[in-house]
Amino acid sequence: MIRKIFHTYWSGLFVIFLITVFISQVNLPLINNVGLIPDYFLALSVALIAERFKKLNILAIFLLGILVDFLVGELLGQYALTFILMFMANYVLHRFFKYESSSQKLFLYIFLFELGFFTLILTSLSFQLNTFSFDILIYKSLITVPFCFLYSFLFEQITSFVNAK
Amino acid sequence: MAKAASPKKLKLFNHDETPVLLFFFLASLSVILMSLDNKFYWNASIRDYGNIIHIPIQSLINFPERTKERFDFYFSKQEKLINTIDELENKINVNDINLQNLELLKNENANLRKLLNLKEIVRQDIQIAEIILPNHINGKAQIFIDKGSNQNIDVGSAVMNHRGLIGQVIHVENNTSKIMSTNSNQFAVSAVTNQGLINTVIFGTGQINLEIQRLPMYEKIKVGDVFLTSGLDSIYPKGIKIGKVTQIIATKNDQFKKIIITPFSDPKAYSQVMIIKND
Repeated sequence: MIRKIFHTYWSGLFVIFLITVFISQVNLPLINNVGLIPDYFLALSVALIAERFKKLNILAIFLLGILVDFLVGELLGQYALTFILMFMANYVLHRFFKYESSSQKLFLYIFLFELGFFTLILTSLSFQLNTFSFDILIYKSLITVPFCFLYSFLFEQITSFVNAK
Repeated sequence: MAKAASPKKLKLFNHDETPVLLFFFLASLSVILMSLDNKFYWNASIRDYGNIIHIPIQSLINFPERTKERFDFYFSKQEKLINTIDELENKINVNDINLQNLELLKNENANLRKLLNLKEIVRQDIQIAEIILPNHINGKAQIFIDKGSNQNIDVGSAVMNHRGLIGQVIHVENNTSKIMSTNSNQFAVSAVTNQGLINTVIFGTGQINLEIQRLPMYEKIKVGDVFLTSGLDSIYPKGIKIGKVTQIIATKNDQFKKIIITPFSDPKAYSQVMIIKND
């Protein structure tokens, strides 16, 4: 079954994207506070960009951002801008450093996530500096970064399935 | 003898095709799209056509809760149902008595308005709706109800429950509508104290409480005072409970004070809401 789904890179990515759309609207058990719900689309894009899945280029990342804006975004172009900023940050960082061990990857994921999160809140229509709490940033990071690893694991699985064919 | 490193590995800078130019173009495009969307609401109108994706997801998310409700309804004990009917009948009787008093007050009010030459208060239609899931989308709080344009719900209608004001309808689709809650930091409502002494505007903060950002120092207000909608904004009918004062804070400007208000109604605590339509 999994082999059938992950028949190609794109079908695998499509299935993961659909699952993300679904889980982004479902409550997590035992969590009532909306602030404690991870930003699944940021996690997905961090993993996609950091893992350079299928060597997606900046245009593909931009189009993915536009699609996310249609589905869950507040403004058209908000996620698109966030994703391409993360893409560029990843591009620049990979020019100077290597990210191979899990601790290096953790640093990269956290950096990209914080950049994405700040871009999202700064471009948000409802952002107010005087009510912003840094606790939310910490909680969101703690919850979202493990999802980055989960997505990255799934992308590795897709790659290995496709390559093993 | 050390092996000479290949010139490729020694290169400090690659001269591959860089995405920098495309990045600046796409970033500018994103900013333009955001500005245009903010002005023309493209995203909201495109989402109206995106029901093919949203409706199955909503149905799937609501399926367990709806199934549970149906099971509860069909398998309730007869005794429990009889008790519920008795309770409801008692409530109806109490409400009937209150209604008689209200009729009397309404007539008195109408006579006084005639004497004072004031306009008649606008009559409102009320429609009952149920809050449905999802209550968040990608980590942002949302309130959706199961009534939409097919049930004649309009954008801008006030939403309340038996505890008080909940918010305002901000987006309508065929069978669902989205509500901006009073907690939203884009929310504002014209309000008056229950004694009718202070007329002001209450703002949402994006957090649990609401606030009056600047209330003149000479206005006499105390913790526990209740705020109701004043009806001056022509959106919310007069007299709906908003919340009570829980904190009075001095500001840097000694001419004003900041008032923190705790809202009476929490939409998460109740499943049913009332949509008030202006004539």
